[in-house]
Amino acid sequence: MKRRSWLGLWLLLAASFLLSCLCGRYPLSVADLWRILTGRAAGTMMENVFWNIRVARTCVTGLCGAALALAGFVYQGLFRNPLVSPDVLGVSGGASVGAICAILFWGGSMAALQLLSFAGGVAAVALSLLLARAIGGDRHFSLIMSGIVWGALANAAIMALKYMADPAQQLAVIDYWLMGSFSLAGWEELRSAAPLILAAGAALTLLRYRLKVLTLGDEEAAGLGVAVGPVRLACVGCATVLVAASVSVSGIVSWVGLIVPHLVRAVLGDDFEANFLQSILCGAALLLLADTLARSLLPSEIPISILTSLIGAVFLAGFLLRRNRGERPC
Amino acid sequence: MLSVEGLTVCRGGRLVLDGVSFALRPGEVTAVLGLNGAGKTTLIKAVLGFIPQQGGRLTADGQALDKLSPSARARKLAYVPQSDEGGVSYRTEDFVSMGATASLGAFARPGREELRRAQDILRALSCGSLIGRSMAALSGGERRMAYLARAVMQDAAYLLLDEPAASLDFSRQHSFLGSLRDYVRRRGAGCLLSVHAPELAYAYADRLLVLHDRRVLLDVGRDGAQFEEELARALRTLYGPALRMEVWKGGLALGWEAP
Repeated sequence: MKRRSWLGLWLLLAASFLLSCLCGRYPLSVADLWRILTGRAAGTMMENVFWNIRVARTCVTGLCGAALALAGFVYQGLFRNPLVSPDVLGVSGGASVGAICAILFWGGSMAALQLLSFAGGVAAVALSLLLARAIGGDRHFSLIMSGIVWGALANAAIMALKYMADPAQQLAVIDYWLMGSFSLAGWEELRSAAPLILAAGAALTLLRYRLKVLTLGDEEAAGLGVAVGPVRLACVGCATVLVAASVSVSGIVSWVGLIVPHLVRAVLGDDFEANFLQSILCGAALLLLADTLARSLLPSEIPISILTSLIGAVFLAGFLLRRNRGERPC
Repeated sequence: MLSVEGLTVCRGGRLVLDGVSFALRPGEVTAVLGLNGAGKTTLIKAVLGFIPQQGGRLTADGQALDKLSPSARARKLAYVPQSDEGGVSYRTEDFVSMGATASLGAFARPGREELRRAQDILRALSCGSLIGRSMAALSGGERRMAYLARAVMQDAAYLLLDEPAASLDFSRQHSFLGSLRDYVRRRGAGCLLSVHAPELAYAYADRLLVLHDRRVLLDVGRDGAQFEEELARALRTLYGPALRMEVWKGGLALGWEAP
């Protein structure tokens, strides 16, 4: 049973990868794919679309889905709260402020946008950590509260910047960025985001057992010999890099980080170390499917957060309904 | 020997412990008695380093505790918390194997060997039936035993338990404390536990420590010449003159004189 569910998960990822490579404005068939891979379509439009657009976009999307889901899983473990999303320390708000600044003041150059949104996300989390340290007391409480404070400030900044923006051009660009899209994701984006995501993911893989001990609570973890402060800081840092790097190439993609770890626990069973990898695989597959839908449903592309929010809401409602049914008397 | 000298702790602007001194000897169970709010939990958490201290010297076998790394400290001190509000749902043997954390490398995790040892420890504590079950599905008493098993797995020189007998039924209190005392004797570990019932302290502790008014009111070993008299005096200071105490069939019997 257990082996079957792992196999199913890998197959799901492979199928969504394949689907994402084939579907889109210029549809490819499996036969086309075979021709491209065996080199019998050299120099054609088909080959150009496949290698330069589809594969790159698919890799970026899968990587971002995995990164967001893993970050959500890490935050939910750190805060011992299944309803925490990767945004809890304000990473999305900070990234948004950075991105909007790039759109308004640097003429929306892609490099500036990616750099500023990444820096904004990391800076927001750093400020949250500093404020939480100044607040003191119960660490979980002060972290969540300072995340709320910086989130509110970022929101104020976002609204002020949007108010200042030129409604004819800049405002639409800002709004599209805030709804997320992988339509511009290519090899360049992969080159900038992948090293960060892979490095942070590798570090978290090494730390995953210490993170598991931290889910027992700070005092128990310290009693078992875990250096609680440094491990938590490292986990928050890596999760922040994961989210900031993926948001910097796609804009805000909501709900994936919250819903995927949940889904994995509910469907595949609660097992911390297995859920770690399952979240990665499932996050990649889910975002690939959402992105495939985003560019296939309508003639023009739908912003990805519309779909991820929709899927997230439906999943969450279903999950809650099922859970409460389980608690009813027989 | 774990020695605590002049431990002073303030919490929330209030002096909770004022110059508390005592020592834990290998192979001995020391019970801390005191009213609610007397500072029993504070004492245990301060020794573990969870709460900053305003004064005092803590050493384990001659080493200053605050100089030790987290993992070196965890090889000296094992902790069993008062309540587990975490609501973890790990399998019991997984949970027990986490006691080995301090003896693993920085990025290592418990493997087959540790899991096998965790199962052996559970069986040795007559808790073999917990193997394979989720911690979330255990009763309060079973969870206590899992915590004891984790502390045994940790194999630390000293054990600190915060009210381990609270919320257990009558027979489980005795089986838990009996298992604990057997382990402490066998391992030659030092043990500090806080407890509300003087009867349990009398039955299982080799040494009694009574906290009152921020200080140590009584620190006495079972083998002391005036053990019962001193204990009776201390308990009357704690609970008031209406307390009646009798040693009956080798155990402590307490009563309350009606007004």
